[in-house]
Amino acid sequence: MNGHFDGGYPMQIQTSRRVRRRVHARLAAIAMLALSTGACDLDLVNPTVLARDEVDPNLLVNGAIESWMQGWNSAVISEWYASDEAVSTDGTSASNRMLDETGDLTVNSTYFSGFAFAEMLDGREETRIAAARAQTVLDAAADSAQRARATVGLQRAKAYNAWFVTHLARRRGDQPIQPGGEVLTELEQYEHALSQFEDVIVLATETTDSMRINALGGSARVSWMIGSATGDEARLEAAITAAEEALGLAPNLMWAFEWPYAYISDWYVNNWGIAAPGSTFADIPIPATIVGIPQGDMFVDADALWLIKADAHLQLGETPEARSALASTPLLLTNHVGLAGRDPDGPALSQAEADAWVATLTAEEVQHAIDELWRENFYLRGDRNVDDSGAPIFPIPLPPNALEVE
Amino acid sequence: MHYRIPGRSGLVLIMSLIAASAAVEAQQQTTIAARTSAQDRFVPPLDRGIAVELENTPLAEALRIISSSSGIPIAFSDRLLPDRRVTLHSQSMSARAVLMTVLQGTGLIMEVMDNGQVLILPRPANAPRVGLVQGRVVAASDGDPVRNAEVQVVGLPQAQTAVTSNGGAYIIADVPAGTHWVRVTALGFTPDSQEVVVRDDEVTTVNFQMTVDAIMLDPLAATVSTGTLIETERRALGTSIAVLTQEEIEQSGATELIELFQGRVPGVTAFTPSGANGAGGHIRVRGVSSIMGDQAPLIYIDGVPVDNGSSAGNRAGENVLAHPTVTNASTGAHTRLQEIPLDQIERIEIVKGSAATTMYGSEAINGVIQIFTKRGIPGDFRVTARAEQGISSVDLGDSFVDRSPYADQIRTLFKEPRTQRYSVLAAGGERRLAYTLGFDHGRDAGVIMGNDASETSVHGSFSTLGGDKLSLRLSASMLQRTYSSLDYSALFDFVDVNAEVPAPPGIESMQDALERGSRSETDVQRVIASANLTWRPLSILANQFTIGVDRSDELQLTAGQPLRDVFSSTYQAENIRRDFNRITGRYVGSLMYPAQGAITSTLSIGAEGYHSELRNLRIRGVGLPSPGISGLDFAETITSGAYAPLEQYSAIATVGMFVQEQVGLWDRLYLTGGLRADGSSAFGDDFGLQVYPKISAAYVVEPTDWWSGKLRAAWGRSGKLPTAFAKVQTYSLGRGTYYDRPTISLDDYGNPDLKPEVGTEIELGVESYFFGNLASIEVNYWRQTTEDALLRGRIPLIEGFNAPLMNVAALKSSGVELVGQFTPLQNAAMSLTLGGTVTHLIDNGIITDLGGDSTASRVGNLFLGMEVGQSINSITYTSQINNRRVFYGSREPKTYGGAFGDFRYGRVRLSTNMSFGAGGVGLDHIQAQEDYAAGLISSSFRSFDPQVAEARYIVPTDFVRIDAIRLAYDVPALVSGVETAQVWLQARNPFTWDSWANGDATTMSPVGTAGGQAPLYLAGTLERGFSTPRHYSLGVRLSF
Repeated sequence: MNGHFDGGYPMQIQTSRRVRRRVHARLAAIAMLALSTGACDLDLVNPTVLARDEVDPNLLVNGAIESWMQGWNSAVISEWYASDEAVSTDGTSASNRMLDETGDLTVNSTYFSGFAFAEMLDGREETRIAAARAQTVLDAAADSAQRARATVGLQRAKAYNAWFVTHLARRRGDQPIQPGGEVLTELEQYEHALSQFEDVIVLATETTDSMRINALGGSARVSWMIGSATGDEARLEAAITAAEEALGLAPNLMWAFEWPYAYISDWYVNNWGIAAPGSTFADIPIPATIVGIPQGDMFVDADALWLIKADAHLQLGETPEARSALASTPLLLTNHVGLAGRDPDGPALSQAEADAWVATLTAEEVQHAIDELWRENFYLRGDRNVDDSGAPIFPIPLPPNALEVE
Repeated sequence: MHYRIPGRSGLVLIMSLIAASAAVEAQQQTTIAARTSAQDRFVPPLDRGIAVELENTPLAEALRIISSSSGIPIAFSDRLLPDRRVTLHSQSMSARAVLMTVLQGTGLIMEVMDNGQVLILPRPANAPRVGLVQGRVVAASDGDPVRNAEVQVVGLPQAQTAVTSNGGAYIIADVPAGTHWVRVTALGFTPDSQEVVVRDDEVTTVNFQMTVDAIMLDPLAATVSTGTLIETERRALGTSIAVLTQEEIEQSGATELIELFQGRVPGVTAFTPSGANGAGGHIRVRGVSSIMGDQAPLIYIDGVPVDNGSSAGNRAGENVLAHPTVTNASTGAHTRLQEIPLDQIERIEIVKGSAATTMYGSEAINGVIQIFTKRGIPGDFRVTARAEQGISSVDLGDSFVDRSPYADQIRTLFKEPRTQRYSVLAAGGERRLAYTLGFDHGRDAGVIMGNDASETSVHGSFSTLGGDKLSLRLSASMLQRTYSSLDYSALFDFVDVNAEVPAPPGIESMQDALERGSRSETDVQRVIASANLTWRPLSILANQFTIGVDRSDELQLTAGQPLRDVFSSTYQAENIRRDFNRITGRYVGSLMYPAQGAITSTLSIGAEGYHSELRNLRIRGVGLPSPGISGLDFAETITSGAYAPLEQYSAIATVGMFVQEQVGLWDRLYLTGGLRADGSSAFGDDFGLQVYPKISAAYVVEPTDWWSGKLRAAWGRSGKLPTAFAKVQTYSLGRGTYYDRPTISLDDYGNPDLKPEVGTEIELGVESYFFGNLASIEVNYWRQTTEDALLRGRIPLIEGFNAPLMNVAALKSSGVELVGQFTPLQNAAMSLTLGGTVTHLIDNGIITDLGGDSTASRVGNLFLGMEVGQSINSITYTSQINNRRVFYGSREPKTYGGAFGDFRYGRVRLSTNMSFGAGGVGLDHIQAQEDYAAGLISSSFRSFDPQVAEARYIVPTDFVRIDAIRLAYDVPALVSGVETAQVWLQARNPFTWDSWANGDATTMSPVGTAGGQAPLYLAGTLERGFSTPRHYSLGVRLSF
């Protein structure tokens, strides 16, 4: 339209303004609509992480093991310091600072919670989630190959969950074993672990299934711990049965997270290589000072199973069977604690020498030998942890209000 | 006590620079004069000044002369022209004004065609009856033109506002015939108004002589935009808002944004962790407001919230987006605040506390800083060029270096580098399109070896008007910043505290460390753009639409041998990328009705939405062939590095809607109430909207002859978002450290009930103005509590670093602020203004709830020193002697502030700023090292009783610093075409006193202290920063 037509440019402007107002109003409406639409759906997807239903349970168990080992590494060293089994000479690490600040883990576990337990609890939770995921995958398995893989995942998740629950029950005492869960006593946690091991055994399709054998070892150990704590003879007998079956299937059983350098590296970094055993434990070398000895988190091995068997028999009043089991313990031949008169720097005992020495022992002496070999087993287990007076440092008291659920 | 004064070499160099700059100035002025003749081509022809001499000249001839002088084709019919003669003498009137003048009373009008041609036509019978108002604005004191003054015909749309040219002239066309008030405002002058009668088809001349204002602008009449949804006069504000003007920014002598706030704004602290380039810094507004979140305020640029992430984001939960940024291990972190060149800033508004930041919602708990960049304003084409050269040096006599046994080796790392900064700003245009274009470039070689930094940025702003009711402003800035650094912390340690620690293989001397050790290069590219559309369909209704984009890409390449790895001699290279994007949309509609009368009302409603995403990529190569190679193609092994996954992503989408009603009663009492409701992707799925209310009142007391004032009170809430995906249970794919196989790990346990932290603040304030605004004083009391503060989950759930964030804690802060200004002397010849600020933090981050516990016990080592009743800022110590934990106080000063003075005598102006802090404490780590060397303590200090430890190692960190002294001289316009010229000599940080014998109280590191809020421990706390450098510079600014 010509702006000068009929002198009408004011009219044109009015028309134009009306049109513009409509356009502006529409634009405003569209903008508000867009914002409102956005408000309805604000969920965003993170492309660099996985959601729970995308998780492969086998890989999650791998991750749980990594979490556990990270925490275990710190925990063992901290416990050594706390129990005076090892002496920290100096250092700048977090572990050392933790002790510097608190002085004693048994007085205040705040730092321990912050450093070691956190990652171990992560591992426990990850195995719990992995077990649930594996069950879901197993239920949905379309063929035998998928079923087999899901079954392995379920076995691993349950087996490691059982071990993690066991360890943490011993270290922390009463606690929930899952977020928001009820507080279980230490024994209730052992019962939970035992049921998990039994599930693993049932899931196995072959007798020689390695996870089944591991679970038998775990079952033996937890049954023995429950029986020892409660005096329940049936549990002690169950421990003996499980240990015997495991040793029968795998005479050299060693179920462990093993890594060849971690302790040594950590010791070195923390102490610049100058940490020393505590005075009460001077007879047992610190693993880090013995090159070639495998380091790691030992769940159960043949030594432990023979000692469990010996101890259970002893508690049941079966001293001859206890002697027999003690004599069969491989560690007896190389012990550093001087059993059977062995020189720690000398050659290993022969089996005949060991047998001859064991045959002379009274029940009390058998018990003493078992206790000493448990100390020796510290190399891999790291779970001895008693103070100078011999009193165990576990369970470490949790911080105030720790067991109150939100 | 320790004093720092300029070194002799610095003075010599300054004198040299003065001489050199004088020569440069002369050369530049010649160049500028040559350019002047060409500048008019940027001005629309009709608005160009023309010289005409008409003496009783026939109208037709006059039009031909005007056409010839202006170069504008003017078409007319002789038969339409009345028989008339005109007389007019003009040297600088615009062609438009000249034409309107000669056509005055002829019944003719001019119409401008699209091709620029002017038609002289008979005036239509129903044409609007309008005239033209023109004039000149000068200073009453000396008659100099006042440029950039804003002239407005009161009551007309904003479109009919003019800005004076360099010569002080202005023109407002199409002013309806009738009686009007013409009002002029200009920075530094008292606003003035004149009543004029505008006649149809006539030119009305209104000249102004402005007088200098004691406090720049009437404080209660001045308007602010921040926190109020719509531009609001200060008299109606119920909260305290601090404003830094362009002049204050210039007089501060600051070279970076963070320096602006040092001692200048009450309630705000600004510290850098070190004097190194790239060291970053942090601004904290009114103390600590969050335990796990960072303390950085929300930054807006031209109405768009922009990225203000810092290194604190390295720890999950501390930053909104909770991801690592590019971080320099030795110098801290690059901070976003360094990416805003000061020359681009027109004004800064600072809103403090939740009572004032309510309308900004879920990211505003730490305060809001709103930056307005220079905008395009109509007027003559103008160019302002600025050049500054200087030299820096650092005082090592008051740092850890001085008492180190290895001081000589460390000193070899330091130098006195040259700095330079240049900027050019061009502005001009007309009503339809006004523009500002800026260019900045700076270089700083750093006071420590290998710490070069350079920065280049361009900025543009375009304002256009679509008729009387529509205006659009487009702004964009692009910046590139690079800096390099060595691993200084490792270098210092290498020769200092851990000298007994085995050196890395191949590193036997400082020279080895310099040649083989890691060095990094960081490159930042950033673009910030915004579009602001204002539509006023009615005089009482305003609609503002804003969209904005903030995008930054950072790349840090590190290569060399890690100096902290005592086992490996291999060269490594690390490539870290940080890409950030944010898109924002905002609408505010305001209805001002009734706008006048005893009761006024302004109702504003609106919505804001934004989407932010941050992507990090970290790749490390091990086994590079030589230290200078960062190309990962040459690496033997590629990993993601030890501490972060290969790739991280986070994103947040937030939408907020708000409404605010402000009622004015008898121009005395102003009541404001508002509400904002936010939904965010960061909120838990089981949590809905978060609502933040506010209410405030301001009462303007009846003024007397010598006093006026205002009382105000406000209460309000704002929030802080949880981390991006903290509500979701997530897993990450990785590779085992202990077993080399693929793994999946629980990343975050997730909390579907997650909600924002909520700050609630009450603020009371009094503002008083004395003797016609020659003096002013403002006092504020505030108290802020943070409820639903985030902590990691409790033990019964699952503890550890992946434990869920939960809203279980609370903390509080409170304080008093005082700001005053006094102008005892002001006349045409000279003026003197003095001012100062004092802030006292009564409480600073005192924990009032830790989810029912008395101590924090479930989280990582960051928070283990926290107790209910204690500040989360405290330096803590637990003695092995008695297992007693003590809190010694905070590194942050409890009382802080500053003072400034500005003295003008004729063309000379002397400005100075100083800042101070008191009540903080630090660690005497040199004493600790000496005790350690003497065998008195282990490195962890635990052998002492807390009182003994306090006596030996805890020292006050009080300080007083002259931040800047600036001597400026306005050079008379000696060269044709140069409108204004100024030279200045400036010293930054020329003098510092502190009570900390072995540290620098004026620097404070956010690194390692979670943004400053996590406890420091005696054990393992060694500060390795060095002082902010002294900087002497000489500058020149020319406008033409």
